[in-house]
Amino acid sequence: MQQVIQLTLSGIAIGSIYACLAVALVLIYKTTHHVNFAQGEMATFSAYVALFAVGLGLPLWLAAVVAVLFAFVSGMVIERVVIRRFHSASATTFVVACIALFIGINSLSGWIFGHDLKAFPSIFGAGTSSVVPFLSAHEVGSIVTVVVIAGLLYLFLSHTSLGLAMRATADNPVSARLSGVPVDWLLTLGWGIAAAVGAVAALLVAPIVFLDPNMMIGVLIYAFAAALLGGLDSPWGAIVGGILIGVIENLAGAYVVGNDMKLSLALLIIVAVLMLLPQGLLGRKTATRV
Amino acid sequence: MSEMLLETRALGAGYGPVTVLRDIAVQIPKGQITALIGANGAGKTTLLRAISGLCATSGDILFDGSPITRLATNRIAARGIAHVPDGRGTLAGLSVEDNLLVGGYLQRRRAARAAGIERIYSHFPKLKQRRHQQAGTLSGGEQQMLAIGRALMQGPRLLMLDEPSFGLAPLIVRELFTIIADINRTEGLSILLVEQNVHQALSMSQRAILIEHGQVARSGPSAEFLGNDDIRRAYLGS
Repeated sequence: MQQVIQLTLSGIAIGSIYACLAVALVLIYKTTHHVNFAQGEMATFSAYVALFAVGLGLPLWLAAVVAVLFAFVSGMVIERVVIRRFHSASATTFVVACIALFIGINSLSGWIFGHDLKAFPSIFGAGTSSVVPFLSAHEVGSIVTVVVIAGLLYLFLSHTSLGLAMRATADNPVSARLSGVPVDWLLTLGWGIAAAVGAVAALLVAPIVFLDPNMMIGVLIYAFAAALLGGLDSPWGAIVGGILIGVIENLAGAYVVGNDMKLSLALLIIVAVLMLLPQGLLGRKTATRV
Repeated sequence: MSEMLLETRALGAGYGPVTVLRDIAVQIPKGQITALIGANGAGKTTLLRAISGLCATSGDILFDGSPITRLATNRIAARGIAHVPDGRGTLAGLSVEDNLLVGGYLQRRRAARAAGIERIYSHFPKLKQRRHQQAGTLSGGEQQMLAIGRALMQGPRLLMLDEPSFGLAPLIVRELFTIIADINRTEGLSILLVEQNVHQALSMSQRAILIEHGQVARSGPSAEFLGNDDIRRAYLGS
């Protein structure tokens, strides 16, 4: 029984990280109706930026802030320079552009920072947590982080006029434009926010698995499963989905499929959700009357 | 000169290789309702889209004497042009109140937005009852009211309505046009109205513009249109 509790708690912790990346995917899906397959690689690059800043002598927390700010700005630059050209393109073209970004950024990470595994310290420190039994300080920190991100996102989207403008942009860009909302700018801002949230996920993953250019590939699959399970157009669904996937992965890995098959389980969940519950748990079935 | 709120000169517009409008010269006077009439596909919707910067244009559009021709759509809205598009353009996933708040996006002060919303609710009490409801679940008439409310939230100097009566029951249409005429009369708001119901459009407007095959076929006081035999035969069925 104790093992089940322990696996569940650490599943919630790892699921919080999937939730972060899933939120990033959802934020972009809501405005572009496409999945950014390069989300994980963008995040990995930001983690390297954090490590580079630590190497320059910055304290770890400040390096993390620098990395998240870097992600925010580079996300906006990528939208302006690359993605903008594909807004009205077909889904296939958009996917190919994302794969190009994926390969390009992955190679850039390896070329600049090397392909070897690098140890990455946790900003929450090593060791076990003194507040929650069974969990490390890093795991507790991960859970707290996703709660804080969810809170900030809620405040931004529901209680600021910029957040409202972003929801309007996602809902009906032409009407938003006609109401004076600078839609192009909000799309850029959305990519910046998504990249920043993605970078947080990478900063949480790196201390667990070591930093290398391919670090986020597996995480992206879990995050994709999480986003689908929660409903691709709901940031709250992404968080619920992420935590569920983390727990399912841990428990099934220990008792059902074994650790080697955990990633296949994520793929299985993707297929099952698409077949049985395509709008996800919290996704919106748009109701319209005409 | 200042009697004209909006003026187009040699305006052409279209989509990609397709030209819809050619050499359009129209004048929209201040404080009046101007009806834009014509057959399906004549280019009425495209003219509104051209003014809002939603399609490629050539020539000039002057709003209150200054050119707006190549401005971005949101900047044209900021100049004071509100456009209720065909199909209403409801932000279906947002609540009624959020729809109105989006309309007030250009209004920086929170108090002014709140006052604006109360003003809209006084024109359309039904919207107040449904303020927290998801806009996509409203009836067609309510969605049209919401679309007009959202446009009014901008505090516009020109309101462009693209077939507000489309798909609505006659009773609702009558209610809607009463409110539109009322807003024009009490607030002096200039309105450019595209309407399939030509008789309705001509009888509630002061001036009219007839578009045929992407060109202005005729423009002048609406009363003259109503009295003209050719117009009556072609568009009024009598």
